[in-house]
Amino acid sequence: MFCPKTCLWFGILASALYGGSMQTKAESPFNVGDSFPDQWFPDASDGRPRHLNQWFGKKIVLHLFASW
Amino acid sequence: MPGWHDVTEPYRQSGQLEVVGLIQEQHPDRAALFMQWKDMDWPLWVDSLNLLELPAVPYTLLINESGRIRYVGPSQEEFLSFMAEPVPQKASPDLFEGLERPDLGWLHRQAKSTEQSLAWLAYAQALYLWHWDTKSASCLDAFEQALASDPGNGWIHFRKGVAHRRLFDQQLLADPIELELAMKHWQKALSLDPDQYIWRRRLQQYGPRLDKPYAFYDWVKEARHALKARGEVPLSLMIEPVGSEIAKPVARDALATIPAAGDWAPQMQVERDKARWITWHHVSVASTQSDRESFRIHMSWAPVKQGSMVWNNEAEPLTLYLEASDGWRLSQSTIQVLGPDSAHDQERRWLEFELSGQRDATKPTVSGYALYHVCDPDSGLCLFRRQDFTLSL
Repeated sequence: MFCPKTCLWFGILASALYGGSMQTKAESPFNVGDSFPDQWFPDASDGRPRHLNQWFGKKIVLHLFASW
Repeated sequence: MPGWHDVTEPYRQSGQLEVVGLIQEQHPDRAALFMQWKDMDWPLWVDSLNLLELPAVPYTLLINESGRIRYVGPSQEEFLSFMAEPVPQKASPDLFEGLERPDLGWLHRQAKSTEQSLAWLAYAQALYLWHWDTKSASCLDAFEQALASDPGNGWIHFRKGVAHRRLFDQQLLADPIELELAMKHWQKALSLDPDQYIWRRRLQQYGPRLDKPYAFYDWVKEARHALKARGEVPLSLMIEPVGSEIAKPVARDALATIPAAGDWAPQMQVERDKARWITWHHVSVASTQSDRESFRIHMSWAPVKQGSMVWNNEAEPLTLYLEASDGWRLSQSTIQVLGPDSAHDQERRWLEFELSGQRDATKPTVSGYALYHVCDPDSGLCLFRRQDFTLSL
């Protein structure tokens, strides 16, 4: 049931491993040229929903990380 | 991350750039404290459920004005090139065309009418993200419905585990069943996909030290100290990281330094707690490398709610004496758990210890007994009692 998204990730992974257009880590699920997944996330400060589209028209640096 | 902060900050301050963090961890307030410590004030968003299906972290992405990913894991030179790129002549707003917050009623109707796992999962996730405070029970039920149709789906197990852990925290660690369920679902998820690093890390957070590549939240103490030295008030945490969350890793060959249980307390003539005024519960977290080599045991003791007994904090605290079965070694053989400053209370007492053995050792058991002082607040009668127990792992 997760195939559409999961298969996309696997496709990206295969592309990276076998000479695709990825610029960095082979295991990265992100592909240059793709749009970032359309998803709302809670803000850690107040729990309010946030979406990258609030900055449409601007350049964005997105850090995906954990503090551990 | 702090290195990136120095490079990007001038652009952010000049309005040419937005910087945002998206965290893959259970406790957002801890990441917020980390940001405060590192003096990074850009927005922090939360993806505890791993909706992005990330296999690991960290990643840094550079996203252009149209919402296209331009670089993954860029170097700082690539960042400067990115900043020098002209704004696309024709942006593509369709890439970000506004999804709104999910319509909960619609999602629920979809789930009920289709009975499909994916529909139940979407409903569960919406409840988790946007309606948790009032609908946590419905959220867990929706995850359960999703699993009923697709019990072999690791993503549902992982996310249901996240929800159980959140409920456990929200109830201030009062219900050990929620912790047990969180571990059960995370262990199941990892068994379905052993290569999923994010799932593995969530288990390791509560697992044995043998399994830890590094401590999780040992930086919290240092962060608070540094913030106070700067004259700042550290952000508060809902749940203080303790035990396995701040335990340092240990190498396999260092296990020999862990003392074997040798100071087993002499048999004391203490009356058994036949009335079971105090009850106990345990949750074991096996190493993610092997299910037979090491375990972290989270054990809790609490007065029975319906009873009137309370802990007597004016006497010796709850003390446990432990002994492992042959071939297994305990990290401690005696544990004391201090209570609060008040004379009496009914709070659950939590303690942790580890058990390690040879890969081919027989299934372990831990036997032991607890000594504690309790009082009946109605009669004023205070008693000293012993309770024996055996844990089979």
